[in-house]
Amino acid sequence: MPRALGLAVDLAHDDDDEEQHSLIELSSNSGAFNPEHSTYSPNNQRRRRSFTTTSLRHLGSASSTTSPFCKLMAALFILSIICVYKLGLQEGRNVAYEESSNGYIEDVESKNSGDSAGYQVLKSKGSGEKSENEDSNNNPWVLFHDKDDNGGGKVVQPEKSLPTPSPTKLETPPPVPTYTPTQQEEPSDAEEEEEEEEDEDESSISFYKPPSNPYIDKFKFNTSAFLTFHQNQWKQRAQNAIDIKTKYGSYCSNVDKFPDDKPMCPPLQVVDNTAIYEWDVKILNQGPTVQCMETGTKDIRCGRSDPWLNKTIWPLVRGPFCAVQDKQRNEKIPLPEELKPYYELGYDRVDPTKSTDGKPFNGGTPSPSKNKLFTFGPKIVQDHLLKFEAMLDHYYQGLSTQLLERQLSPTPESEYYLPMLTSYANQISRIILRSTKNGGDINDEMNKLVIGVLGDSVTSGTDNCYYDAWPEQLRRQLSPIFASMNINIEIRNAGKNGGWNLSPQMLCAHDMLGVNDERYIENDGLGLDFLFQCNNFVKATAVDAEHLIRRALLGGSGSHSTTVISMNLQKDMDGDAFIERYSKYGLSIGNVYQDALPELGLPESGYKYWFPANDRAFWGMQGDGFCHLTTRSGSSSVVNRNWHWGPKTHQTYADAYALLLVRATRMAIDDLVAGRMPPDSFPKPSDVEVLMDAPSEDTPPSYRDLYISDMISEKADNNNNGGISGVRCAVGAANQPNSTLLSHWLRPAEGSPFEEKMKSRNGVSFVPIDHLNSTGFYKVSSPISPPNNAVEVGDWVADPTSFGAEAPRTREQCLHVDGSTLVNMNNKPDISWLVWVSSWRICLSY
Amino acid sequence: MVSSLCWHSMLTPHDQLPIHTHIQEVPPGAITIGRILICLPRGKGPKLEEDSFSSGNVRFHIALPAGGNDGYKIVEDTHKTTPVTFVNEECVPMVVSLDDADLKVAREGGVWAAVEWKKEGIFDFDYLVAM
Repeated sequence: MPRALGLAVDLAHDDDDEEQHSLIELSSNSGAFNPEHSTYSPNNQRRRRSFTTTSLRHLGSASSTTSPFCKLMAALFILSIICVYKLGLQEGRNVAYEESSNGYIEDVESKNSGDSAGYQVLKSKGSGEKSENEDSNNNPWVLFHDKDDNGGGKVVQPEKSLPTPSPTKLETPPPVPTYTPTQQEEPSDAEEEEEEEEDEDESSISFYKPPSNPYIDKFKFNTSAFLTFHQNQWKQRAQNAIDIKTKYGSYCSNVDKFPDDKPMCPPLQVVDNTAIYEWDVKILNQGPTVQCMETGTKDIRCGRSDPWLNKTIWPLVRGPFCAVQDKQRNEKIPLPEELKPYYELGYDRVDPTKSTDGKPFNGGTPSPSKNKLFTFGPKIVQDHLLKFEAMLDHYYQGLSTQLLERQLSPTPESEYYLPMLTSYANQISRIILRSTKNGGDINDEMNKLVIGVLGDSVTSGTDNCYYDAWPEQLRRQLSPIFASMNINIEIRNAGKNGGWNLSPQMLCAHDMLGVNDERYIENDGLGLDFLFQCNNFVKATAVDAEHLIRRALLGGSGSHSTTVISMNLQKDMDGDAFIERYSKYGLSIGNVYQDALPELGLPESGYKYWFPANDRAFWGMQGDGFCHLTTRSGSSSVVNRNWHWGPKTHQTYADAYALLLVRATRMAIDDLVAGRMPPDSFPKPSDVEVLMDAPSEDTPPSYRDLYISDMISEKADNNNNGGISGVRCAVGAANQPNSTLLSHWLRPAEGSPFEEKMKSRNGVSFVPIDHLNSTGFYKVSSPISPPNNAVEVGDWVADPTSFGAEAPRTREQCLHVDGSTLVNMNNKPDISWLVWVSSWRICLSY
Repeated sequence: MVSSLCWHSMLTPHDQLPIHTHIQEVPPGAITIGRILICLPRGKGPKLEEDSFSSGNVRFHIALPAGGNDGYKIVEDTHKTTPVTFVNEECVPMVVSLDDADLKVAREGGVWAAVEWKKEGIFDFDYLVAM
């Protein structure tokens, strides 16, 4: 039983807002929708079902033959059919991948050709050229298309460049979103010449093309029937969003920034708490049933004290619409039975609190005469991997690759993707071989794939049940598949809330993530196979990033000495340069889409109006662009809670890594079957030039300057030979499930080499002799804590030790990672000596 | 014989944790480069001030094994050896570098580090770093 409540929880940093976000206090009844107007209450799955029923009822009413809404929808449907016809949609998906039985092709010179590819969205893989049709602005799926010819490998920073809604601009039905996160300026002549030269060299570049997936063909996920159905649903969703915007305006628009906005609810006069703007109550009453004038407060703009919007727009307008789409999908294109095991994974949809981990898939047995490298049947496991990919493609309505590939750079359009993927595959090959060496016993502690996770509050699961945090979703998704290979997935999450600097955490990755576990030290030094860092808000710098990347990827030896690493962009970090320099050794960069997942469409294009605006953090933005009513595990399909990701966004991010790891596993098995062993030597630091500029010698160095000096030093090969273990840490915030409690290293000055000097200067020891037994010296918070500990949530959640209505999970499922071992700094003698030691020898004295 | 119990016993509160309490021992070679840092949290607690060193409120020292028989060589005011920029930085070097001889003994025998501070010089810290 977790002892979270029994421990003194460190709240010292709770005062710190995260990236200056203001906490928004909502009324205590938030999280439950207005009972007068909707029967939806997400208290449990049963009620969620009633939501569907109720929603349908609402829509049924609206869809009566006399309903204007119905007429509008019918007209739009007819219009969409005409548009489809006009667009000349043809059989089959654009041939994004050359169907190749061999999988990983060497050269993809202009295989795409937009010839007769009616479904234009997919960018041809491996070609720098783009068909004219790809620029079509008539296809919503172009949303997922990177319009930049050479941008496949570009690192996008959508969280910085997200356009802001322009609610006053009335929308017309699609034109389609034209989101171009890597949009570039027109190239200069010199750049064009350079590109031409690059094109000439392109024939020597290897691009990735995934092997064909027979289940995509078998279940006809690539037919025009499948794709047109989803495309039409998308258009309907877009139109619905536009209708919402037209009728109700934009949620809580920021009138300071956009004075012409038509807000859904107006800001209020300070004095009498009345609306500043005249508001067309009649229009408002057509949909939302609560007037913000009645619910706002005088000093807080609309919606901040009452979550009226989600009580109205979502359950009464968007939710019912989505429920109908969901029903249509399930009837027209249900998930094939053969793929359901990869979707269900032990989830109890009636009572989510009873959900369990999915059972291991059967991995079969190897053919002893053929290959002794496996403890499982490689073909059988490959089959699981293919089905998993097919399941994702069904879930993401034919757009799984485009959508999920965007989450990580480099993307397959980049020349750097294949080398990056190969690094992943090599690492997985090593894990498979390690398992085989250990006899393939899944109960053997050593037979595991270890993923360390660093990050901020998003990654720690703040404002969510940890059950829904992306590292846990990733573990749950991959575990049954890897179990079929007799390999356990262990994810060590050291994500911390925003009160902690990230730079030292990156420095201390080794100890924070428990790599020093003595079980592993005694067993060939098993460390982290992968390190994924996701920090949406708390940023380190490019120097920190390069230091960690080099420690992770370079200088290793033996089978476990490198860690394939993925991280978000840090301050001043040129993502493209990092990708170019390090992706061949395994670096990828996670692209954070804050409250605008790619599938949502972007605010500027009119697909998000039932959500708050970017700058209006809100509790529980419901629904995603696909009209998924829940996540696959049955959690609310909430995109954002507060400023943190909700379960749906976590799921997408987890799926991106899952897809990458599954692809890499397919490649690893192919390699091993073909007798290709992973390399057992790694580049030395001196082999790879440092990106950071040498620090100036004009000023005293900062600790980061010292990093750079170390990286470019002639001694770097020696200095870095410990991998991420080249830096050791004590005390501090870590303490995560499946991780290590940082040792404290602190000692009383008495008995130390400093005792004499201290006494001669009338000093006292900062660390009391009995500090180990005293309860006040260390402030220790549990490795896991209630989901809402990291940030204050006011009355949003009735029971902060669990999650209650919105996420029907058990308390254990909701506990999230957040712990530390810190020194209580209240003890301040006049003159004191703080003594610590980093010597193993001190341990001998006990 | 090196025993991990020494670490385990120091963290008594964690003995009751329901999750893995991984036991660690700092292995030989924890010091790689010869640098020691002390890192500072983001909170609103007391900071390392710009004049902390010049006022003498904060001093850094180290002790290295020397001469056998538990003898130690104490090096005082290591922060003066190589001045560093530390204001508004997340970590502060206590020791920027060691010469080859000191590095060797530090790698093999570990190193003691001390912060001598006056009451007004005490600052919040979290990670203690050796590299």
